[in-house]
Amino acid sequence: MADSKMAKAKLGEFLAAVSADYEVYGPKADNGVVTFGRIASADELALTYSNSTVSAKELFLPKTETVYEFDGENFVDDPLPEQKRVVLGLRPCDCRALTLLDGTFDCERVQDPFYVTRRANTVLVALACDRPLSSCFCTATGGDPYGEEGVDVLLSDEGESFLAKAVTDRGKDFLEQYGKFFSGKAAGKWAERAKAASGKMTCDLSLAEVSQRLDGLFEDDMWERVSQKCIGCGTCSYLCPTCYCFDLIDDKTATGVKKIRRWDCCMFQSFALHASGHDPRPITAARFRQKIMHKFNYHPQRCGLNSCVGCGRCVRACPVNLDIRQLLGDILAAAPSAASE
Amino acid sequence: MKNPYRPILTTIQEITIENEAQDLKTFRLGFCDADEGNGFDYQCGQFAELTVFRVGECPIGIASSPMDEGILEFTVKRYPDGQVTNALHNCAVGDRIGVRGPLGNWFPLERMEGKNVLIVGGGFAFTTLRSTIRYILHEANRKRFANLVVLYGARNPGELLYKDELKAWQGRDDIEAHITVDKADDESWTGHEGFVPAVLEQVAPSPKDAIALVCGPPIMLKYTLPVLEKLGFGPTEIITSLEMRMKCGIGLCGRCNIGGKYVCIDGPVFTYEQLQALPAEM
Ligand SMILES: Cc1cc2nc3c(=O)[nH]c(=O)nc-3n(C[C@H](O)[C@H](O)[C@H](O)COP(=O)(O)OP(=O)(O)OC[C@H]3O[C@@H](n4cnc5c(N)ncnc54)[C@H](O)[C@@H]3O)c2cc1C
Ligand code: SF4
Ligand code: SF4
Ligand code: FES
Repeated sequence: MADSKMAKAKLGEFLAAVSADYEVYGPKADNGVVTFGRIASADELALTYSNSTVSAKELFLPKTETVYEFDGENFVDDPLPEQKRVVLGLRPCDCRALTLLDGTFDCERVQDPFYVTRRANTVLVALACDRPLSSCFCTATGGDPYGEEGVDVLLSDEGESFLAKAVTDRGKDFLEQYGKFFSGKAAGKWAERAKAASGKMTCDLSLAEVSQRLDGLFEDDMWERVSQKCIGCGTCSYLCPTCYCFDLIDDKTATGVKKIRRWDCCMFQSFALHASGHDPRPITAARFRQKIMHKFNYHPQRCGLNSCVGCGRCVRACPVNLDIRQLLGDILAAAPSAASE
Repeated sequence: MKNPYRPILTTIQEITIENEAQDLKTFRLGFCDADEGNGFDYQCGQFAELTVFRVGECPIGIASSPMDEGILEFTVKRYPDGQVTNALHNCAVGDRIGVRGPLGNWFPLERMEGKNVLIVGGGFAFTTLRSTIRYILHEANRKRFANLVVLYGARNPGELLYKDELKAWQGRDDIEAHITVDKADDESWTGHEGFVPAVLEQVAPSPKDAIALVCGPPIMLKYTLPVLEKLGFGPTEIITSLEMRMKCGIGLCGRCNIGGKYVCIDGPVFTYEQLQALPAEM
């Protein structure tokens, strides 16, 4: 697709124009913590971050969301999130993560109408990653700092300007709609830039085979060992762009109730506890195993892909420095024969 | 787009207290909207999420039979700390209940056609088996199956579910019903005495051209499955139903898996062969 370019000086004007048609979301920095939120003007945008502290998942699966309201007599019409939105400046790993969430929330069997509506109404204008962190490992998972999976428009920060490239038809329409801010046919050095970025990745694992290796490891005594430090705080899951477990709870209204879909986490103690008092995963090791197996064995079995995009958030934020790369490396290094024992 | 979280409205039409401990009640529900009721097409072995509005939701097996037109029944055990089961037990006739379903897979009734059917149940896990027995006994279906042998056990006579039906089954010649209690504290008891696996060994039903459906508490399953194997039932001829904690019931919330299988969509019905392939996470 034709390349184009936008001078950074035009960003403010561009944002004002886009804001007239869309709700605009982007990365905002507060004391070094980067999260996604509504953007009113260009100076609110934090575009020099390496990766956001919190993923963009929240814009599609909010921490809490009403999935229906019953007023005591009837159901209130579902307020579907129909507003048109643009998310600007998220990283390719977070876009790829959304394609993985699609496999769960928008599959043949069932569709979550809130998630599906948001996905359909949102243009993803991603910002390619030129400064991956030492904790990033997207390339090990099949992603790339300049990856295009799930991306509508890809931007690359060239210093004075952004290179822009439409990836999908939706992206093409978007660039055309705001064509006056972009100089057409600007031949950017995409290939060189992408190569330079992936050259900065420090993790040389290849996770394609992890799933197979895990097949025989459910009963292995490694889980006790590798989970020893874990305090079950759930930080890793909450920050992860592909974790999606949720709870359904009742929030009483004056005469009825709102059913709320709320983030949950398989690392929490009572996650699988039965009403009878029986708990199929009574210890940390069992819950930790569930998390790893879900991402790297069950999800690939069901959807064909690991549900990890290597964004490195869990590595950076774990309070006890549990590094998932080290664990995956150990699993890969275990002799295949031992793994299938 | 259909909202998969939203239940169908029903009202409680009848409540039956099933046992002496009074912690098991059967709720008969009627759909508020006839169209929605007609659309609720279920099979034996499926479950639904029942909602007590302002309290919550829980998964319960469907105890009525698809042949019971216009009738939808659930038998619910009250747990002392269970929010929804307590709230359900506090409900009265006329109260509104939400129903989301039918959910999950079902007993392979098509594969069972023409075969002898053995049904083994223990405790209150008998509910979806009762649905199946009612289905097979229906005059439109009975000819499609060969012998029907039922073995059902409870702690004592007062804890047996569906007492009137059990009595009726024992008076029929197209079903062989064995009822057992762990301990007969009542002198008038005329059925078997002893645990389900032991009675099963005595009754020794033939595995020839037969399929066995088995549901019960984990401890009963643990001792019953080997007896069935010993009798000669193969791992694909033994079928059971599993329970895990659930929230969504539709394969989204990530709550109910055993290894890579989601009990809510890949189950709750599994063959013994599938069960043996699952990791020890139950
Ligand atoms: C497919 C399927 C079919 C089912 N069919 C039936 C059926 O036909 N009939 C039936 O009665 N049940 C059935 N169940 C079980 C039923 O779903 C549970 O009993 C029910 O979900 C309990 O919900 P609750 O809201 O009352 O309990 P909750 O409020 O969820 O109570 C459980 C919570 O309370 C606490 N708690 C409760 N008891 C204890 C304890 N002893 N020790 C420690 N903590 C405790 C824990 O925090 C626990 O998570 C079925 C389950 C499944 C999955
Ligand atoms: S962030 Fe670390 S300590 Fe917390 S649950 Fe995850 S692995 Fe365990
Ligand atoms: S598991 Fe860790 S590295 Fe992988 S996507 Fe989740 S937070 Fe990122
Ligand atoms: S109950 Fe939600 S995934 Fe099975």
